[in-house]
Amino acid sequence: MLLLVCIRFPWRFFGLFLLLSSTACVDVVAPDFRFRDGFVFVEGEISNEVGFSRLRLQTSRITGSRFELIPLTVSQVQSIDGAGQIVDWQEAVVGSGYYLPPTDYAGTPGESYAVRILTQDGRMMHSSPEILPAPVPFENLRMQFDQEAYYSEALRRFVPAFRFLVDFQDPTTHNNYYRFRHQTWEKLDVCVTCRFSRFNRSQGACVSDNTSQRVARFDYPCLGECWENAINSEINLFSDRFVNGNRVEAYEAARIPWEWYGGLLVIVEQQQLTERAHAFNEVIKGISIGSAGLNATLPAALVGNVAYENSDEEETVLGYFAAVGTTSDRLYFNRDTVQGNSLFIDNRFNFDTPPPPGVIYMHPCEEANRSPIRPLGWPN
Amino acid sequence: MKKQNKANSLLDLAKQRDWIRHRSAGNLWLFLLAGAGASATLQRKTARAKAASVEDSRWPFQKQLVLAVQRGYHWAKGCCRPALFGYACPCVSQKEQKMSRALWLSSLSLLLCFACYSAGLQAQQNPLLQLYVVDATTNEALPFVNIQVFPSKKGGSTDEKGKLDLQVPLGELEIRATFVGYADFVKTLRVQRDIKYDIALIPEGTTLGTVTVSGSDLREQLERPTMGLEQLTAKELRSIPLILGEADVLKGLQLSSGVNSAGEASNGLSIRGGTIDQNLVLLDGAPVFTPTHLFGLFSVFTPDALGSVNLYRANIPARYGGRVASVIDVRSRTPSSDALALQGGIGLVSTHLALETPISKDGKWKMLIAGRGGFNDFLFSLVQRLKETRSSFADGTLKIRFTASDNSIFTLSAFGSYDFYQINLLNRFGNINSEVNQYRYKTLNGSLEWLRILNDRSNWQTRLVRANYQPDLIFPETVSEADVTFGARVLWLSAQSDISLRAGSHQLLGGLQAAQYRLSPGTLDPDGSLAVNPLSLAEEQGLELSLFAEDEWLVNEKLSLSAGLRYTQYLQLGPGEERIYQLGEEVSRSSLVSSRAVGAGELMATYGGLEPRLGLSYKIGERSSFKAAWAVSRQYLQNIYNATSPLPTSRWKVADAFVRPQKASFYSAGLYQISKSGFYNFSVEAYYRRTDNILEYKPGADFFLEPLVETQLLQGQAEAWGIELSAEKKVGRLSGQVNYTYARSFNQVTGLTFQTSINEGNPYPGYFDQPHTMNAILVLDRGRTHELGFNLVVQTNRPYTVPNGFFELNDLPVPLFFERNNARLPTYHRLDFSWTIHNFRREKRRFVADWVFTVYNLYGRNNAYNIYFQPKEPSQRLGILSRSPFAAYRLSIFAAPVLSLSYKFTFQ
Repeated sequence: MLLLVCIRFPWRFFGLFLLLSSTACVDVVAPDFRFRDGFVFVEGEISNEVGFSRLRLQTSRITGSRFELIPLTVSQVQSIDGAGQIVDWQEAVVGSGYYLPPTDYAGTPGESYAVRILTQDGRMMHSSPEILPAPVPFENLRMQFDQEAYYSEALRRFVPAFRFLVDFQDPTTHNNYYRFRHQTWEKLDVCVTCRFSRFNRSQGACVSDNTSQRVARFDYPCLGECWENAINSEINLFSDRFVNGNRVEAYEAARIPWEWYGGLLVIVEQQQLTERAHAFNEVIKGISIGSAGLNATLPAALVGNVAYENSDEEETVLGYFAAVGTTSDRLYFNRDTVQGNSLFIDNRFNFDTPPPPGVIYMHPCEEANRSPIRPLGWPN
Repeated sequence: MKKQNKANSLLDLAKQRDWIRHRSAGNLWLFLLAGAGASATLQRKTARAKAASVEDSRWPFQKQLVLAVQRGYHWAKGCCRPALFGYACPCVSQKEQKMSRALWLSSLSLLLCFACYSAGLQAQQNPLLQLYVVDATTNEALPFVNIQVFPSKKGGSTDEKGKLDLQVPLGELEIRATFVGYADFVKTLRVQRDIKYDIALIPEGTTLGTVTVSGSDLREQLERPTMGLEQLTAKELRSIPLILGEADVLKGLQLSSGVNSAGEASNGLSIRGGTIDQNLVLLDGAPVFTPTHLFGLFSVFTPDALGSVNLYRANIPARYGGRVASVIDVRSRTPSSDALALQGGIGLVSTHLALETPISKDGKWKMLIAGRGGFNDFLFSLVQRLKETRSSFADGTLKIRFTASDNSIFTLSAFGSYDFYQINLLNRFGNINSEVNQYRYKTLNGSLEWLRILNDRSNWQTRLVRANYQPDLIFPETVSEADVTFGARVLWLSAQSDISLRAGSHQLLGGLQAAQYRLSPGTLDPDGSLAVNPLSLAEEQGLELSLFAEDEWLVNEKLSLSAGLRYTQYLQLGPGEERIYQLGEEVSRSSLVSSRAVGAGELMATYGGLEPRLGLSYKIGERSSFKAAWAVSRQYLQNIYNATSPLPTSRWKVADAFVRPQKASFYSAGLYQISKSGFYNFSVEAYYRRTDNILEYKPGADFFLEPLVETQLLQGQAEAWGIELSAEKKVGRLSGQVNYTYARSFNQVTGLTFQTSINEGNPYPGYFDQPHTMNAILVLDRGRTHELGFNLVVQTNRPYTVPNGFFELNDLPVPLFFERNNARLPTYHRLDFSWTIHNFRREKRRFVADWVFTVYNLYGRNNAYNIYFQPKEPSQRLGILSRSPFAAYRLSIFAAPVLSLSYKFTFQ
């Protein structure tokens, strides 16, 4: 992951500045692929918290030159614990490939779990059993602002960001593997923005017309209160290999750039993984965000713990079904109260105000990641 | 050397001219006698005079006499000038020519007398060969030089005045002169009478730049059963257009066929498709584990102390072992000056200085000390993004030579290298609150060599070597003063003793070597930080015992053989941990059954075997030869890194019960041809290498402080083959070479499961599989002020891996890979330029300086170092990326011309 120095400079520069030049030497090029189908991708987990267990099944398909993972509907999905107790999982929405256990289902720390999947053509896949690790509570979730938190290659500048720190006591009893995830809730002022177009109520979409083509944007406020949820994709892994039994303080569980204003509710989730699941996530991290630089991680197959029962099956199964111990906490703060400078925020709204007696159209809070219900932890 | 000889011969002729001129002004008889004397002198000088006298020596003595008379006369008129073949005297008038003819006719009357004289000489059965050996650079006499004359079996050492007289038989003799720190000298002489012969030995590397490979040298190359040997001289190094003006051994070697860069900023070379750690890089006999500064920008060898560089990549001599692809044997130059001499330079990146001086009045102790440093990192702060970046480096070489007696010489060599690099935090480690990563790596090597000249045909050499390499990765805590440090160490100790012997047509060498590897794979020092616990991985220890013997045998005029045999026995010794995994299962943490502590010195694993090294050369006519070679080698020490290129902190690993040593069998054959003029040579070589037990890595393998390192590793086989064509011209003002290589390399790793196989068990292109490579170098040396050099490289780029699909994890696109190295980076090509400005008017002064201007990547080719896939930025969702969840990024290291200017000087 070491990105040393890249040099791109005009002839007139001379001397050591050549070595120091930091202008882009990373060019965007057309991506090349060698698409391949005939594999199944499994992604899921059993959690000790109600509502956190899920399973997603996909299969590869190549249509012409287009590759896609499409939902895979199977005949049966069951989880089996160490005592042999079987729980049937159901597809959340028919054809979605998402499978969920019963709504009140939760795993028990220390118990062994595996998943069994029966395909529609009668073949059986199963995961190797995982013992659900006991969750490790964390405490003292707090925010720390850093005006120059990290350097963004895309923005070519240091980025101001909010760092969310936690403390926890690592157990001495066994190796612990942590994954931190976070999601945010923000209250929306504008529910639709149409660029070079105007919202058409009858069509329910932005439509360009002669007048709107010359306007960069039209904004439409929300109808009532509306909150938007964003799930962060950062892969934040931690192992206690070098701190076993220590108290870990000020661990950065999340980092969010300062790019908007107002209140922000941050939910930090900490998962305890098995060693093998941790290693699998390390591979994902390596090939997704760790592949840059001079000594990039070598690409690796995402072979996890799921396989066909008959090992002679030609179809490959990728992915992982994990047993995780989950704890979470949430923190609200108002970004407007922070001392510092944010990234550029374009909050100069241009509402599409019709001539009187018309009133501004207000868009309902109806997107999949939006909710008119005040999220838990958002102050009144 | 031959060029030097040529220069000497010209000087001799010039002196001869004056000598003749003075006498020609007198009377004719004196002139004729002088002419005869000059001719006799010319005869003596013939062997070392190249251009003129090589031709002359084939002519009858009388004709030479006349020629000498004519030359002397024409030189006396001051109108002759040296020409490519002999001398041109365009201004000789007809009158003078008539006079010349008159002189010629007059001299005929004396021919019979001289013929009688000549016949008398030929009648001598044991004429006297008077040798005088000097240092070619300083012209100082060299005492104690070992001289051998074949096939007479005569020999001896020069006295303190550099002289040796030998009674030798008539006929064609081969003179060999060897001396520690100097290039071997070999010359064939036809001896018909008493003869004086001067030998100018070239200190290794210092003035090799003045060497011009002559026809006879090429003929010697043609006859020797050595293949795949590349030699690089100091001047060649200086002539190569360099990046940032730094002389660079590794980049210089890339001009040879089959030698590729492992990337513009990577830590070594790929030799014939091999990996970086398959090359043994030696400096004065001590291995250099990280041979580059600044993560690979240029090599660590102190430029002013650089002597010779030999690259062995085919039948590696049996005295070398421990790596399966090649040996790069770098020698620092031997101190030889009898007065204080300084040389140095100021470049954009570094400043370097060397001092050479005798350190005792009797000249028995001589010293060379040289250093280089680059401490310009304050300039990084001028660039916002690099404001946390710091970089500094230094290297130094010390060499002391003590001539204890006529036949005993001691040489102490020491080399140190230091690098420090700080960058914004890239690798988070534990819960350390740190904003930067600091890399620090240092090498401290030393060797002591004792050469004992036993007699005129044999000598005994003993060498003790200690190499110490210590990389550190430092995390300075922001919340405390603690510098949390990961440290590792490779300690290599070796004792080697060998005897070389010349017996008839055999050149024999035999000896033994004991090398000990002591590795500290990793320690973690919290330095008071509470963020991590101290940790120390168990030390690894290996012992490699070797016996070796070589014989270079000149069977007859056409056939010569080299036979070498090396036997190695490797022992992994305790202390350590012996681990047992479930039989038949993948070696992993979950299959670990038991472990037990092994005591210090206890045997843990052992490997060994014979390593034959065979070569033959068969001359086909006068100017062609066929050569073939076979070599087997083993490697017990390996560098492991799950990345495209190793870092200085990458882990080293000795062979153990689970990590078997690599073993390579190498076959090669080639045809070599010298042009009729002797100015050009051509070659074609083909090779095949099979390597067992190459290392590969499991998905996500992480070796950082990993105690069960074998659970992260896979092993497989590699095959490499290729054909290399080369044309070269080393003589004249315009010299250069063109090489083309077609080469392939493939790896195969078959495991029990999908996870323990690479590419599903199918062969895949090696990391340095680069089928087509063409490189050309052209040097225009006008001999006085300007030297221009061009270097062109065009090659198929390295393979890389493109995804076979993708999925999204919480909107994060993640590539899916089944295959390895299934695509190729765009073609690599680059043109470099160098311009050396030399002030020839100052040549005879004590202070001489050159300016060197270089442009690396003259036309700014944006060569790809790597292409990788990352999530798209929101602004990149259109255009070429519209149908892809990723953005593909092409990383280039030097995407524009890199100019540099340096100033180099010598003072003596």
